[in-house]
Amino acid sequence: MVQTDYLADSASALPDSPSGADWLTPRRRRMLAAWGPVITLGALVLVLTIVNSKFATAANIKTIANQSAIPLVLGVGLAMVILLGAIDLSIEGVMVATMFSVALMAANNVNDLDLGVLAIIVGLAIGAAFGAVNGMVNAYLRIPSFMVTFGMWFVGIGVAQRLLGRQPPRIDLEARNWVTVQRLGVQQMFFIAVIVVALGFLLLRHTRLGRHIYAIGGNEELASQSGVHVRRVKVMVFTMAGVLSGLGGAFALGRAGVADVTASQGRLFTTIAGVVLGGTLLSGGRGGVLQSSVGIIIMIVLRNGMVLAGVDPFLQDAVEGAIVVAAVIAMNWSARAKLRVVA
Amino acid sequence: MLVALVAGVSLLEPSFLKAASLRTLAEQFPLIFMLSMGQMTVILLGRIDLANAAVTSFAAILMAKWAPDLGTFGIVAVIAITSGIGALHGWLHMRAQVASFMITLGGLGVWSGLALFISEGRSLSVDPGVASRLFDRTLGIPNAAIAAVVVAVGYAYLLANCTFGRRLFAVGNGQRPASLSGVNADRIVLIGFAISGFFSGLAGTVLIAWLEIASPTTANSLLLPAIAAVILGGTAITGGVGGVGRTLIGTLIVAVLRVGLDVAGVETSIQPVIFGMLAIVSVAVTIDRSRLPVIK
Repeated sequence: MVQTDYLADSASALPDSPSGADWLTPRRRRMLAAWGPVITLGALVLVLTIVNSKFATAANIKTIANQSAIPLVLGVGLAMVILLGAIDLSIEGVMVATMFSVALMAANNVNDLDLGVLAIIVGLAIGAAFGAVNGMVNAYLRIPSFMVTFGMWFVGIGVAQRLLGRQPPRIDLEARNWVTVQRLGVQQMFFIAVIVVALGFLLLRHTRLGRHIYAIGGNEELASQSGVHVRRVKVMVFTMAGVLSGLGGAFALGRAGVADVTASQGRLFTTIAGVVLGGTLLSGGRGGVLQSSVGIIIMIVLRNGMVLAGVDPFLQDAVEGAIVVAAVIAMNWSARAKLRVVA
Repeated sequence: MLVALVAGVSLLEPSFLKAASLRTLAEQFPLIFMLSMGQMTVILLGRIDLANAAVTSFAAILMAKWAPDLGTFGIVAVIAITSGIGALHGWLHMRAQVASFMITLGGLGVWSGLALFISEGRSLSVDPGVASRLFDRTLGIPNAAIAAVVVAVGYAYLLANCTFGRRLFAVGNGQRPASLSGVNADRIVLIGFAISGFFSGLAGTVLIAWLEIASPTTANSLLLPAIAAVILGGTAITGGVGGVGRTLIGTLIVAVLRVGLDVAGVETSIQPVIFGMLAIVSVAVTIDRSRLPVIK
């Protein structure tokens, strides 16, 4: 993202918002930013419970949990990238590239390979490689991240299409177990996703790398002058995001049992919209993994509500696109300023 | 580079210079060219439009739906609508001060979702009416290719000689200085996006005239090649540098590459990899890093 603040640095931009009502003191505004997404989620759940009797059933809540696993994992990776003030548009491409690689390495019906757990590890390494390329091209060749990751999106899809031979690889039932086996009535991948969220939270809150990520997102020049190794941090963050996109792809493979080039379609929207709705600003430096996870669950619940209400699936895609725009605009509204240049 | 590419492809695959491939080239060219002209306008402003190919698909579907009742007027109406869609993107982008890639990425979702919704996910056959003459041939060249070049010359004239053109470059070169010298940057950017929408509408017309089928997703795969065409031609994504002539060359490179890859027997499946890398590499070469204080 190419962005320059001329009048106000981003820290002081909040209080003098053009729409600032008197009761909205900076302190209350911060409270609202922190708890707003949770309140939104609560209200959404309440409305859906009242409107649709099928919503608050045990079966539907399990469905929501199962559906959240992949977006939550993707959201942790994207939240870290967005905290830097960058963006990762390559999520869907990396997902399908990994999905096909893992499918061809696990026990499948196309070749005789059966690497077991190693297939997943190599798959995550492939995701890491995609992420590392994103990060290195962005940090060392100095190209805006949206452009690099936009290109890599299609590279990933091309790789997947190339790996698709005459028939889509289908993996054996046992190879899907680590994803789909039921624990407490919910597929195991949900718990893996929860662990990933917890690890992401700990990394951002309690490690030096985490603090450096916030520092770079807040003010990159300042961070660099205070001795943060900006380029290395960027490469590490993009690499982690790549691993998590890869994990998302492996989950998707486990769920479906068969690799599919279109399996990741729409994931990018859900993830960006969720991360931003949770209050992680696109300009970087603000937000976190927990907030983003709340935002992501809002998106999943919303989609679930639309499915229950029988909304046409294609229309649901359009609605999600509109939510992305609305969420980004709403969250950025207070940062507007005269003569601010946003490319 | 274009000459080298044509020579290279012809050497490797002599059949490339045969009439059939050249005809394919002439048929592919107008569609990509319309998309890349729209994209160029926005890139000259230092912005990007990730929605323009989706808007083209949306336009094609609307035209297919309306052709039976409205005929040629339907096509004009759809082009007006796509210009409006572009203007909406530009307005949201400037008013809310949100990065253009983000607004248009959302737009990509909205318009491709609506295209699928309206068409119920199916391809619609369409009688292009008057527009079918676009793919009649004059001296063996499809009219659409000629029309595209005429539009390009007119647009190049507008950019070079009208106030709007100069303001467009001024905003692309430095929005803040331009604003301070009295250029209404908000309006220029809005018009730039509207022009991108207008070209998407033209591309939709070319598409239905060519295939006589409107599918809700056909044009979407052209987003990346069109961006690659603009940047390969030498229009920098930092804005303010570039023009119609460069985009014409860039589009020819991309079109030759697409047809050449097919002729040379490179599988279609791998082509996104090539265009993705091409886009990244050409950005790396043409970007003006001194204009960006930090690169996010």
